[in-house]
Amino acid sequence: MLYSEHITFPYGQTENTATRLHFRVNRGVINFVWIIFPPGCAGLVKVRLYQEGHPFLPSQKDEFIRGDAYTFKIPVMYEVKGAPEQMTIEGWNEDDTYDHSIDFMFLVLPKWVTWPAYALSTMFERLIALFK
Amino acid sequence: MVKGQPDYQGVVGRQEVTTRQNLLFPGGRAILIDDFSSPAEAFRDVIVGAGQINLQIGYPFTAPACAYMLSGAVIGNYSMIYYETGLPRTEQVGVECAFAMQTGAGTRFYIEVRTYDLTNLNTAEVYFSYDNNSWYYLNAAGGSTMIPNSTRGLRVGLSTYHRVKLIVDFANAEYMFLYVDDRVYDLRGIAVNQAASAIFTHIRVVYGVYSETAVIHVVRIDNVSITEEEL
Repeated sequence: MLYSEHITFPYGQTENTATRLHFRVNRGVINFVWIIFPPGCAGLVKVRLYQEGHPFLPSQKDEFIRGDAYTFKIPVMYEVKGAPEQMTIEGWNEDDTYDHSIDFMFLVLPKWVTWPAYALSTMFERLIALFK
Repeated sequence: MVKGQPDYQGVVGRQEVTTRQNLLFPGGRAILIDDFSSPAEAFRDVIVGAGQINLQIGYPFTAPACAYMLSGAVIGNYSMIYYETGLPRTEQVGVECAFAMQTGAGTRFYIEVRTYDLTNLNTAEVYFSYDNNSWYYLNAAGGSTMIPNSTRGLRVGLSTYHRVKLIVDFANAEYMFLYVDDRVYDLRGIAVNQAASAIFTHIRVVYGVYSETAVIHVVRIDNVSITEEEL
């Protein structure tokens, strides 16, 4: 399942006037996240993602991702186990002249598809935990 | 004014925003360009002393105009234009332009790039001194150091354009390369100047003319590009 969001950030924003968009991700494993900055952003559009209100990408609080003519392809392997979880895209555009549109894509796969990469590692972790 | 370029909307094919200008160094990805054809969106300027800055259509490097900068006739006067844009993802910034300068003792043409990294104000600057026909860089202590082997017969004249590009690595607070026409000066490992004061988290790129003697000094610049480098 591919979630795609195309968000236009108006010019003249600051961190305090950031644009936020919420959406829910159903059960599965978030496999990859793509963040696509078109040419022209000049590092002036800064974005970050939250999962249920916690910093997700990047992991640190108050940090952000920026770019210009660049696609960030980020392997995540985060499992949404039960109820759908709320993801939040937050970003702001410090350009004082141009709006910029950023694409976000989330590839969510069933857990069995990510086998063995994900499931096997989980199994090993549990085995190791037995001997601790 | 902090400015990028219009998006190349909806195209994932990663193309240049605009056709690159006629410059010698096509590397990097242009994030801001100015050929002085649209003054309404162009530079900001600072003039200290009785200098002036205007657009001149008589002798541009490429049509239709260039920036014509005169510094005041007092030692220490300067006239400069500057641009502000975002710090690129790689934190390696290339700044280039074409310049022509007056033949006159005490003329100094300089390029400066600065950014604030939330701890230090990082400043990289190179300048060409007419008197010594040499390039200098701003060193970590705040003084000037001649770039080795940069003393050369650069032909100076207001109709003789030279192409110059400086690349700075702000991730490591170091200079990288200075290109002047067909020469490359390797500045890797040389620290930029760092000070405690803060101004902004964007990059500011300055082109200016500075008076080392008490007469008016003149520089023309054209085809400014700011690029993201990944070396």
